[in-house]
Amino acid sequence: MAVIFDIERSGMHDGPGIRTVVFFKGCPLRCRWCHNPESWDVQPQQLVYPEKCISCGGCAEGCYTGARTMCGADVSVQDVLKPILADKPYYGAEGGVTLTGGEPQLQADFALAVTEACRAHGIGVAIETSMAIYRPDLLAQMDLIMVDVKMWDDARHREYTGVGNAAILDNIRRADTLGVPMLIRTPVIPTVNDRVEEIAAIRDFVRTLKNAVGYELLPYHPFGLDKARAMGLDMPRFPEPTKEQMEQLKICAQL
Amino acid sequence: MTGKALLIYAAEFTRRYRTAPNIYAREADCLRWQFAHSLQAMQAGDLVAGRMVRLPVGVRPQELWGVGYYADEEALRQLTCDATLTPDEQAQAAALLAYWEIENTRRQISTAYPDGWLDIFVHNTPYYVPAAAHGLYRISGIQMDPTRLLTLGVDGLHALCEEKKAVNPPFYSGLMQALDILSEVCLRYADEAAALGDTALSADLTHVAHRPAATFPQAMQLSYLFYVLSGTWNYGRMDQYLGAYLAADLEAGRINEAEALRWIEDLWCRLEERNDYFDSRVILGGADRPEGADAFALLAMEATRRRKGIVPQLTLRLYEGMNPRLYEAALDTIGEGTTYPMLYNDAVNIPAVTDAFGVDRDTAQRYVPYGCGEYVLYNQSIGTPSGTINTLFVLGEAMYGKNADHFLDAPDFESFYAAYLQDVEKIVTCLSLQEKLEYDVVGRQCPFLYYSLLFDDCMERGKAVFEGGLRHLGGTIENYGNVNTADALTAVKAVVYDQQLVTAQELSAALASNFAGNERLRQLLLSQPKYGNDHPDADGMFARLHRDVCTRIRDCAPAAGLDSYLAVIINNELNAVFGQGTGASADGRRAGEYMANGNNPMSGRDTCGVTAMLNSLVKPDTHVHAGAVQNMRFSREMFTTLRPRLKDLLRTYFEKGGAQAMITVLSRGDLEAALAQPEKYRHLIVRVGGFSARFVDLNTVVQKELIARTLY
Repeated sequence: MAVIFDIERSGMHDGPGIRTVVFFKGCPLRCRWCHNPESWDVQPQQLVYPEKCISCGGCAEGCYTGARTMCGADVSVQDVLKPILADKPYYGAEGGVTLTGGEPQLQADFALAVTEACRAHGIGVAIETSMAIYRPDLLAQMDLIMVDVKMWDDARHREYTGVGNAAILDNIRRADTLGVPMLIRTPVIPTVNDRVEEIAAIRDFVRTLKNAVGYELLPYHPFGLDKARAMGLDMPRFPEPTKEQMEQLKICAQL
Repeated sequence: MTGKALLIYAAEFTRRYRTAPNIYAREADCLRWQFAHSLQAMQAGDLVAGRMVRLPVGVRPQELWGVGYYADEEALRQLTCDATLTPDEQAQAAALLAYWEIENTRRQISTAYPDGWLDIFVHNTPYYVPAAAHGLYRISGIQMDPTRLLTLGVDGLHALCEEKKAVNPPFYSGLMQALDILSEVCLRYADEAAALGDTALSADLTHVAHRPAATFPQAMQLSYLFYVLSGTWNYGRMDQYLGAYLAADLEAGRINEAEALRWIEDLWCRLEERNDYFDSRVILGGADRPEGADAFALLAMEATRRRKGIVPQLTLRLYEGMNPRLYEAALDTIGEGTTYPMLYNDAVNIPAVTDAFGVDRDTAQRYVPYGCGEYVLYNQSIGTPSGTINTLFVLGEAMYGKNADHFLDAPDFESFYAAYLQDVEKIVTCLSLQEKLEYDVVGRQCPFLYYSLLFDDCMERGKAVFEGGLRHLGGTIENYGNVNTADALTAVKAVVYDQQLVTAQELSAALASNFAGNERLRQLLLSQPKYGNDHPDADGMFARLHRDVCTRIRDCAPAAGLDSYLAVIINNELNAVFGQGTGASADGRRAGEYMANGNNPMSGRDTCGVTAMLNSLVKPDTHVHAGAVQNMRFSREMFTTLRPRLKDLLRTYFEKGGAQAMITVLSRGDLEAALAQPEKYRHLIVRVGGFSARFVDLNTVVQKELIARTLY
């Protein structure tokens, strides 16, 4: 069993092709721009959306409006496999399953069990990971590892995400020996890491990796803020990068 | 038309109607007079001749004011007080009005209704008025194959009639007169083309006035003029009947592709001018087409891509072995937001039609959609929808209306469901009889000569379409509200019977009061599983209801005397309009809100992703009805950067049993922006139900429903 907080069917932007995306709860990082802050705590938790409340007074019997909703539940491999198999015919040559979160490596045994079950059905699996944890037995089973290098400076990385990046970079180098294709990504957070020098430094690191198949920049979006509020959490709102800025940085990110 | 001109026209039309020796001569006489006034002059630059306006009195299979012999009573009433007319003329107008009020075919049909029918369905009533069922008056959905006309020519068909004449002289004389009229119209336009200096078109029209079509432009011209005169609004398998002409002209160098494209675009202009956005089907694809059909189909899609009109309703029948270029061109055309072509899956539809229509597989291969998507057998069947049923309204009656005892007294869900189905059965049985009665009355009034000329087997049998000439006499009934009904039943079963969270009395009262003071109950109902999310309970209930309703309709055919009588889950925009007159429902929908369109999930309630939605769409049985609208909406990105994913989606959907796809392509926020600044979004085309429209032209209730739909 593991704590999963969502299974998104027909993900179009979570790896190659059409994918079923499994969201693992629990993450060692606390990125201030996180778009899934509800994934931080590994325990199931209640989210509260007061704007959906109709003041019916029936909280105790159950909320039907979504004003109070549980985020995360203990599920079995079979539970996870069900929507995956329903999506399978749509995957085509490229699609499959993406393990994400949260940090899937935090519940690596379960992630591995899901992966093996997928493999048994001929389904490819990819992972989105912070690489703050390193479970080579899981990573070696992946068709693709998507990993963020969020910032280059260790101290600033610690300031903005709660952990330094030395171990992460080290884990990425170790993962590079597994022979699994890796896609490195950086979320572009204006005022934090949107400088050309920052991107260039990460790009240079990516160039040293044997199995890196690409380096992508992802624009910051504030979709996590509503969920943060529902957790009673105050998260900062960063400016969104402009199209022009992204284009400029992408030039710099070319390998 | 001035008042005076209209009076003269209507008086002479009426005289012809009253004095003709039989119905065949009468229709020909009336049509000759009608066409002399309704056909409009060519305009400089036209490549294809044939414009027609509606007249307030006339004979047509399908007209705004009814079926067969019709009269716009309001227009005649105005003549009775038209200040430009003399008192005698006003009196003459009053006499005409009094005559046609009784004599119009629509009235003839309704006066033949037995007692009690109008307790079951309403007619002549606006659609927003609450009602379980409507009776309709029209002969629609005619999909004729003009090949015999094109290959034999007018004179060839004339000779055929002459040869068979002895079997039924008045009938064949009528057909020959109809052919003479077609010749006269060709020659009239030939003169007009010559006067405009278009000698080539003039020569083509002169040629086809008597002889078989020899070239692509001639074939296009003759088939189109025939369609216009016949009164159909659908244009058959165009690549099948024009493809060979195009191929021959291209081969011989008589025409190049750019010129052919100009002809097709001009034809598309004529179809736009006819302005029937509920019909105007042009069918492409399907197996058994001649060489050149693919070339035509590609040019037809290109013409649609360039013109971006809301008609023709371009339709592509996908089949095994189809040229992949056609599919790519289709995706390119859809991807530009044209909503066309609509994709129909022969691998699913041919076996489905075999079973639903009760015909052999070869015959089923003739299936073609018309109008909003109802299937008929090309050139062999008519299946006009003569009635509508709003199954959600019927459910409301059974839960808190005149039949509330069905719900309140039911000991369990199955008893309630069985009682509900009996209510449905009573209505559809009545409407099946109404359909046959309509055909019978129309058949006694109107031979519809142009239909009888081409439809198998009228010519051979010597009988008009509704006198026993037609090979397959079908009928259909438009179904509205099925998805909301299923969602409501899913919720009722769960909260009243399985979990017993609320009693039948409480739910009935809450629905009757439109959830007044009981929002918590509405939220409970809304929180139950909904069709469109690949959920076994919700989808299972829909599949069950769909099958139960459709088979009850199908089983009406023998007793009604029809070869088939089938449900069409083909919604135009009436899902929204009927919703206005439909009370609150147990799916959590408030009174007056729109209902789901066709077999699609209730707008916005498909929340589990496109694969889940598509999995739901393929669950209802396709073998028990004559077509269902399957609308879906994708972002532009899916047709550009994510095209391979889109192809995976559609391929799988069709492999899993998807019958068809009507696809709207939008950017996120387009519709909201169009509401705010309509003048900037004139170009924005959306698929509503079985028709496409410019979003800014739609009424508010329909716009609201469209905005609520999920964009994938």
